Amino acid sequence: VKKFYLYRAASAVAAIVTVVVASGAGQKWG
Amino acid sequence: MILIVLAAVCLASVPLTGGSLKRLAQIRVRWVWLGPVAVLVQTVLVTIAPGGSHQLHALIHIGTYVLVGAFLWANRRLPGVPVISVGTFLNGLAITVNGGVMPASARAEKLAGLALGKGFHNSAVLAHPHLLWFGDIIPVPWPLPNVLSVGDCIIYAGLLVLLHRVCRRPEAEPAISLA
Repeated sequence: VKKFYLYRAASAVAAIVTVVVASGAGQKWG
Repeated sequence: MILIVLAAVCLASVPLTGGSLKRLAQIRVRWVWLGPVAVLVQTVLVTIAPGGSHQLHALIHIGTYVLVGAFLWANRRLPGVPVISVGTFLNGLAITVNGGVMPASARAEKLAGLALGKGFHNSAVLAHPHLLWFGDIIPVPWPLPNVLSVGDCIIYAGLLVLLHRVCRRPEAEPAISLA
């Protein structure tokens, strides 16, 4: 149960962060 | 790179202010795969295969914003997502009206110390930019030289709202008086 909880938190972080990065992709990838 | 670092700083601000990132497990994030796909496609466009048809690159670049828009719509009830959506809309608008490329300020790029090579760039100095105020006009110098837009700042404000609303410690129940 604890692993599943951590998995859900990690997947939420990954989803949100990647969307935020993609949203701001008017930048160079420097 | 700076976007990832900024996101990491936002994440680090949660435990540093007494919150717990584990609480993110309590929210239901829909269509979690859209973000990674959008980033992957953008990375291919700009870093792995910047050569070839500029029009095709620009069209696909706009398409990644459609993916992001779908994610934000599906998750619109999460705290902070409406704020992130405003920033994304401004960025997407500037990119769309400039034919798939984010207009950048030449002065900002110079101040940041950037020099573009050949191939497709999702942000570039344009000869006749539209809505440059929503473009990349904020220079970020060393150690991570880059240029940011107003939309980017709004996006990261929204990220902070999301993280801190979800991850903050629940407020203590008020004491019940038996008197």
